[in-house]
Amino acid sequence: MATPLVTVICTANICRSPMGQAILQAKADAAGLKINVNSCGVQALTGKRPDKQALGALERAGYSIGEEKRAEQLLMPQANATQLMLVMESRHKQWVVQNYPAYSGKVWLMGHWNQQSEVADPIGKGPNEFDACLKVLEGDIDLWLPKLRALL
Amino acid sequence: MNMPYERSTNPQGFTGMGQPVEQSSNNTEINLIDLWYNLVDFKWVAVAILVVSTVIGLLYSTVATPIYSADVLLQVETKQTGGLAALEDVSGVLAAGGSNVTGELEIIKSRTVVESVAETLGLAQSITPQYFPFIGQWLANRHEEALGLAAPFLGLTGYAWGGEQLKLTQFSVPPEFTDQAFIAVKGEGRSFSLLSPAEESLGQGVIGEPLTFKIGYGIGTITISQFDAHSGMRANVVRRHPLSLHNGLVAPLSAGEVGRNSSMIRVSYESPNPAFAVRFLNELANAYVRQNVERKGQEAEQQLVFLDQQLPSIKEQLRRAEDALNTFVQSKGTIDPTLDTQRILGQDVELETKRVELGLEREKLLQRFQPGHPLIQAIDDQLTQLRSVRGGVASQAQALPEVQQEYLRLRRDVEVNQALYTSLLNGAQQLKVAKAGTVGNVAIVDYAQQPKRPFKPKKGQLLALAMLAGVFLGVLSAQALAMLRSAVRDPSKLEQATGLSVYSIVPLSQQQSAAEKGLRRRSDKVGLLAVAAPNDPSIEALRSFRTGLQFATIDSPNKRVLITGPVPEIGKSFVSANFAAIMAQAGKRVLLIDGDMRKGTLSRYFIQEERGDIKHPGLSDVVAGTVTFDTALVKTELEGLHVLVSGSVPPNPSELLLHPNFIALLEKADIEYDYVIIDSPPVLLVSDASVMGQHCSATFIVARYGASNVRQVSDSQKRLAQAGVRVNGLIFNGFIANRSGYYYGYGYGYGYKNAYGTYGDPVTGQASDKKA
Repeated sequence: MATPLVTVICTANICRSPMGQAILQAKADAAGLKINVNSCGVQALTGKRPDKQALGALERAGYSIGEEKRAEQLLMPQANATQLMLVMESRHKQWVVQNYPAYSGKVWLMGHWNQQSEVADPIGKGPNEFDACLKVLEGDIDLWLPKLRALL
Repeated sequence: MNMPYERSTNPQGFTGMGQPVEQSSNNTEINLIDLWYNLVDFKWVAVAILVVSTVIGLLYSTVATPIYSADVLLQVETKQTGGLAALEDVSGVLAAGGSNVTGELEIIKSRTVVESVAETLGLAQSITPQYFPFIGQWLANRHEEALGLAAPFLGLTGYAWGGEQLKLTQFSVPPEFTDQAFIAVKGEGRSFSLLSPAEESLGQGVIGEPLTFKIGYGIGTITISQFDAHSGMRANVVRRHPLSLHNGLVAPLSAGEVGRNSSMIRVSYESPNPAFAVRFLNELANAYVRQNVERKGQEAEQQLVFLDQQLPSIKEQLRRAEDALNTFVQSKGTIDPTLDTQRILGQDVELETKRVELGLEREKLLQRFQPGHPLIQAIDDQLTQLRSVRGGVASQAQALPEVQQEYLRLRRDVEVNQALYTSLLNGAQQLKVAKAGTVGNVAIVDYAQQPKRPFKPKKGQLLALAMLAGVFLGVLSAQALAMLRSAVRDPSKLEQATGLSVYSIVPLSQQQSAAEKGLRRRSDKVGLLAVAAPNDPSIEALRSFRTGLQFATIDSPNKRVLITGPVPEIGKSFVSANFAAIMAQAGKRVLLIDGDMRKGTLSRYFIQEERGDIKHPGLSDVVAGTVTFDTALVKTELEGLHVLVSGSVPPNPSELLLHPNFIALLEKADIEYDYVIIDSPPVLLVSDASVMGQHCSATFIVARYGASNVRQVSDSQKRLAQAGVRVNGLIFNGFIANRSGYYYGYGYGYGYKNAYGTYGDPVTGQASDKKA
């Protein structure tokens, strides 16, 4: 069986989801979970590099995301191939469910295990906000790891 | 806010926000798309109603008595013709300038006119055969008259079936029995018997001869001149009361002016008998014209009467004047009137003639008006003037010699009387001519013609109307049914209403529907879609359900999953069978149990039952201990998927579930399998689901698109909760994406430029206030 794929999803795929992708991949590797992680946007700024602030925050926290990472739109093949979609806000979930109703079972909030909380968008804000956002993502992902283990 | 990353706790599910399709998040708002899909869901109801109403329309238009309409066209002239030309200048003022068409319409319908028509046509009495209710008349109308009498249908000799000929010559009853149906019953040969409206026998009569009978305190007579019918046939005989007769005749009569101020009147009459309609109308038109002429001639008549009274006395006066003149001339010898005398005579005669004429005119007017009336006043003024002029002439005459004066007086009397007499005689002659030539001021432009086709029922129109009504009622019923069922189409609405999250939305599988249609019987093997079409969207959806299920059972001691639903026929078995197959395909060991021991249908996905009544051994047999677990177990085409079907129908399914064997079976399965999936009977019908749920670690409710409603789901939830079973979530089955404002696999967002500053709503692409 192919390595399971997890997709982190936000709006534009330049701030939250690339950070989520980098953190989840790093933490999964560290925990010995064999998964691939990528990220998409429901309204991706297709082809753009992740936001400088997001890259900065990742760097400060010791994560890295590949040079080749570009924003991409969540499309059918992607939705089909992935085993799990982690979204930042309930409206992302709604968008995915409306566009790919058959995959509704795969869509979960990043903060699902954290009282169904949402991860707010730091776009256009300063480094402090990005650092805070990264902290939130780390917390949510830590909760997700054992659940992911159960899926495998 | 200095802490932009505060966690906002979010309610379950996908809460309201802009959506790609105009979709009201407000439940009370009526939405055209919804209405349309309600119709689509209940299309067979709508079609059935349409068909039924069309058939009713067809039947009605076939069976209904055809009504024919005939009409006559009349012209009402506004100018008066005829009358006395000599008196025209004065009486012209009196005649109404224009005839009042509205008044004429009333006259046409007046009792006088209509009753004279009824008199002429003999409508005051009627004899009609009794027909079988509803269809009898239609049947009788279809009968060819040339064939003679139609045979009684089913031996119902009391009714007419066509070909009957009845004629009533005379019928009279005491006034209190008018408008009541007496019954004439055809006897053998030329006899008939008469029954009163209360069905009492009144006597036997012979066709063609009058029969006198006593009824109440009065006496009636009847003469039936023709009664061609089979013996036993009953006919209603009615004498009409003048008032009700008039009402009856006027009801189908309509008269109206054609256009405005056209002075043309169209009178039409509707009747099942076209010949009668024509006869009646033409007679009515004639009667109306007759009475109009009579009315118009009345004026000339009055004048004539007056003149006829005056003439003898004037004639007498003339005779006397002539005698007086003759006597005078004889006594005086020849008189040679002088030029003066001639002149004065001329003036005097003229004035006197005028005076007498005016006097007559005044007298005539006095018959109609008070002395103070302006017209009489005018004549009085003229008379006063005349008198003063005559005074002048008289004084001139005074100057003449004695004999000449006398001659002048006598001569004047003669000439005046002569002129007067002549003019009156002329007038009388003119009036006679006028009266004879009075044409009234109405004329018949078109007589009625017998219509070829009935105008009612208009088949095409009626059918169109029936179909229209059918469409309307069909749509309405579909909406009403949809409202009653209030089925959910949008899973997010179900989520909001029940608080349960939708774990999977399973699209309706075309392939599965087609496979189900291909079956001869409901119990035939249908097979697994997961095997036949692993890429079918509904299988994909069930595959994505695995994720949710695994989260739901992550901390559970056992991996027993109950798939249940409020009512039958919503796809519980489809979901559980195919989901079990998907789990097995993913390398899990799965036991699938059909928990519906009453009406289990799970076997149809795996085995072809030999006969409907002999069932493969299954759960009930294992729990009852008649068959071992291993014997009952069905191996499937998939490695790792084993099935336990429902088994023979036990008398006490609920008790079996409480049997220790049931729990023992589950515990055994826990050891051998990764997952145990139980397809349960409907929650709202039996308590079994709640009992089973107590033994399971996860319970999911299947709801079906367009069939399940919020109430059912929340009731199921409550029912399970009473047994201490917590529902994990919903599986929304049979989903049709485009009917709910969902897309299927169209995930292009609307790109937006600006990454810093406001950014678009992920759905509409519109800049919007972000909701936290």
